[in-house]
Amino acid sequence: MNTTNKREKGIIYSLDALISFLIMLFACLVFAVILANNATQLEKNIYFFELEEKAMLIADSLVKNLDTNNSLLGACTYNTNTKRVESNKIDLELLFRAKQIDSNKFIVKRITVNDGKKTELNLSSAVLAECIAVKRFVLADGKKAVIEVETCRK
Amino acid sequence: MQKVKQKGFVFSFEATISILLLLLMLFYLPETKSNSLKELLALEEANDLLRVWSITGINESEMALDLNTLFGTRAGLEINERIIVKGNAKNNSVSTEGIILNQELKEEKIRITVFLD
Repeated sequence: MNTTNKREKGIIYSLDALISFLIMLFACLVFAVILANNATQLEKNIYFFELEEKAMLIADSLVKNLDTNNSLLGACTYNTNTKRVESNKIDLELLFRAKQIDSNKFIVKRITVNDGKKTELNLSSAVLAECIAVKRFVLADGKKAVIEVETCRK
Repeated sequence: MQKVKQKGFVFSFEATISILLLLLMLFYLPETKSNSLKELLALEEANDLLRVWSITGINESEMALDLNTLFGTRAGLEINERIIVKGNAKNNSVSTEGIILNQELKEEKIRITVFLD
């Protein structure tokens, strides 16, 4: 009688443990799958983030600085009276002398100035899949305009 | 009768623990945060508008037009807390505020709200 009782108990415990174990295994599987998916998603995000960051940095530099060597990194006007670079005031002549940046990861494909009529400066003819266009609002030669800088991953 | 009760208790206790653990694991699953600079970009664009308006001066209709050119309907504009452009409100938004002096050297408080997806 005692032996039977023990056996019955044992069976119940084992079945229960088996169910728990299976549930835990399933939980671990779900957890691992979701972690793997998250890792892939994060990798994609970082990849995209890098391009987005560079596109924004280039566009920001263009509308905030003055660089006479390469106006892609600064095409603002210089006020000789105040001795200050005037941010968001763009010298179009200087802007259209922009040269390609020296980077092995990114290129600026095109700069578009829209002040009522669209003017484009193509810096590369390469066909690239991953591109981001960043818009900035400026005064281009005294006229309100939207400058669009299209940056692509090589 | 007592035996059945004991069996039931043993089973449900262990099962409850494992189910609770399963639920806990599912509940605390890590979420991927989307790293995007779209908020910063929206702020930069809005600040561009403030900067340009501070140079050209304040003209409500032109300002509304500029806002529409840059953001379309996804931005709102307030001047001295008076709504000029309402914009299509969404859950997420970023706001930037600036004070520009008008022709009578009176302060005009301008707020641009950009609605993000």
